Amino acid sequence: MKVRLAYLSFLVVALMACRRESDIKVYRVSKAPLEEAEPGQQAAMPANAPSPSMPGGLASGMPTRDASASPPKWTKPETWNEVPPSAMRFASFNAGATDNKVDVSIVTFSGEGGTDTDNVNRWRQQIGLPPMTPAAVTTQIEPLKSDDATFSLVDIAGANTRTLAAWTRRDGQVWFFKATGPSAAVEKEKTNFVKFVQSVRF
Amino acid sequence: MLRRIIDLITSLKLTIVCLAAGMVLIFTGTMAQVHLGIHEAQERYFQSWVVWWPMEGNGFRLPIFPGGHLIGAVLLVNLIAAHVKRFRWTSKKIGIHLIHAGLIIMLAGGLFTDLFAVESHMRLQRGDTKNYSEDQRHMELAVIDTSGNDLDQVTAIPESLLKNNRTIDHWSLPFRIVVRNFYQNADLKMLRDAGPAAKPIANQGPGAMIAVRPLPRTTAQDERDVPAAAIEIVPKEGNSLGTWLVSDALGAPQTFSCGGRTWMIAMRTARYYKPYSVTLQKFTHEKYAGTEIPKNFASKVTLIDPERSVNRDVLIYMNHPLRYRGETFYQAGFQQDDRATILQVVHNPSFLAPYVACIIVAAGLLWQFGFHLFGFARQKRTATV
Repeated sequence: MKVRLAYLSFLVVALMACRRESDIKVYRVSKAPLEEAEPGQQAAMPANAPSPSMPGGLASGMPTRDASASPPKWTKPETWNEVPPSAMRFASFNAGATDNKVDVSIVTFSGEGGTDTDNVNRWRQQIGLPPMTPAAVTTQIEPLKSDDATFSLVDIAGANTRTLAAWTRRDGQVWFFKATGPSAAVEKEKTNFVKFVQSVRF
Repeated sequence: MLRRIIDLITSLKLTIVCLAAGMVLIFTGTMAQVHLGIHEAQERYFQSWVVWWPMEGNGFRLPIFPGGHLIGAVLLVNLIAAHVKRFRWTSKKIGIHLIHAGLIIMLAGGLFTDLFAVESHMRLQRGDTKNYSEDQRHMELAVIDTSGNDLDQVTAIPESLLKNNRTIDHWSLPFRIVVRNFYQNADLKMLRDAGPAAKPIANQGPGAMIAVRPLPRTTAQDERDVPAAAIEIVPKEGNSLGTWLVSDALGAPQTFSCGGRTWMIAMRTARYYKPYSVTLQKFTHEKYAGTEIPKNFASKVTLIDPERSVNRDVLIYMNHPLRYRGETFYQAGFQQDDRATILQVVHNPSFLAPYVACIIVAAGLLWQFGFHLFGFARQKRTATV
């Protein structure tokens, strides 16, 4: 009798112990994108699934290191359209034709914002290219000087997609300026992008 | 004593009590959705062994009513026990046996689905490739070691382990994570917009510029909570590196260095990685002419599985899901401007149970009614003769 009761108790405890997702999982995956979701992704919830209620106030307010610091200024190319930035972006622009659009993003973090090798390799992987060694990455980075700062510039061309990225670190803050889109459209916008980055005043 | 237990678990009274308790539970659980929202009410009333009171808080709680799992399990045991006790192998009873067997499979399938089925979503823009789906209802703190050349090592800590002042010490991490504050739902604002009294709860990364305001849990069906936490990173040998704010609302991981390696941390929706990838080739959204009423959604995807040498195109559309490696991909939604498709990914080891149960019950009913019908017809013919 006692044995039966013990079995029964064990069965009940085992059933009650059936819980999902309560353990820490460890796994390896190919290099993941670090930075912000694509614009509009936050709203892209399934029609039959919940959508997040996004906190307000972050979209336009991320960049300044403290409340008294003023945000940088720039001159936007006339053909670019400013679009509402997503949660982590300081600003967003659309460039090029509607069906051949280049997405321009400005993102800032305090601190170093990762190493150049990690960042460049992440951007490469985002457009389907393999990572490069730190030495090879260094050869891809060109300095881009403006009156106010020196940026690092990299031009990454994938099979169909191309990314231009410029970044600079100052006052404990890193600023990323990135343009991504179809290769031909990015080629057309490269001059505008370089001029835009050079127009930035901190 | 044993006799009494057997009598109890095989009794029809227990069946009636379970059915009555089920009705009460369904009524109260449905009413509770007004305050808790559908998902929370489901978890607390139907996907639980007992219903607790009070529902909130970590202090003393009392079990006040059996939950859905308990009622279902007792009903299942009652059904099996009664069936075994009264089992008689005669052709007259085959139909009854089949009907009972079907009901047992259906109940057990329901319980197993509740316990082991996992629903998630995969959102793809045209050209996107993904090898993971995301669970919009559960969050995780992802701690990623990015120092590998080709692969990142991810330590995924489920939201349920993030409690105030809890220390997480895991073999995969050279540091401890101390949860300083955890908010199930929170509003994040830049300090400059949050008023003079606002203070940050973190001192590293963007969190040092952000004020966190706790919010009550959302009950709206089309919203979900936005959890936030302040976590302190303390190396296993050394001093604290500081406190970071992590939240889904930040949108991007943050980086730091520890033990000679670069780490990323992010609060994100829980991910389920797969040994294959799915690429969206084309999404079609057809509407009835002259209206905005949807006629058809379809996603043409490429499925690539290197392990099984699979590389094929699949069209997923309404009522035509893709079933692969125990998972089912349904066309679930789309982004408003049709730029992206949303596939619901369901992993349910017992998905066949309802189909099998229905077939067995139908066979049992046919047999039982047929047996009586033919018997009745035979009697009538005999009487006529």
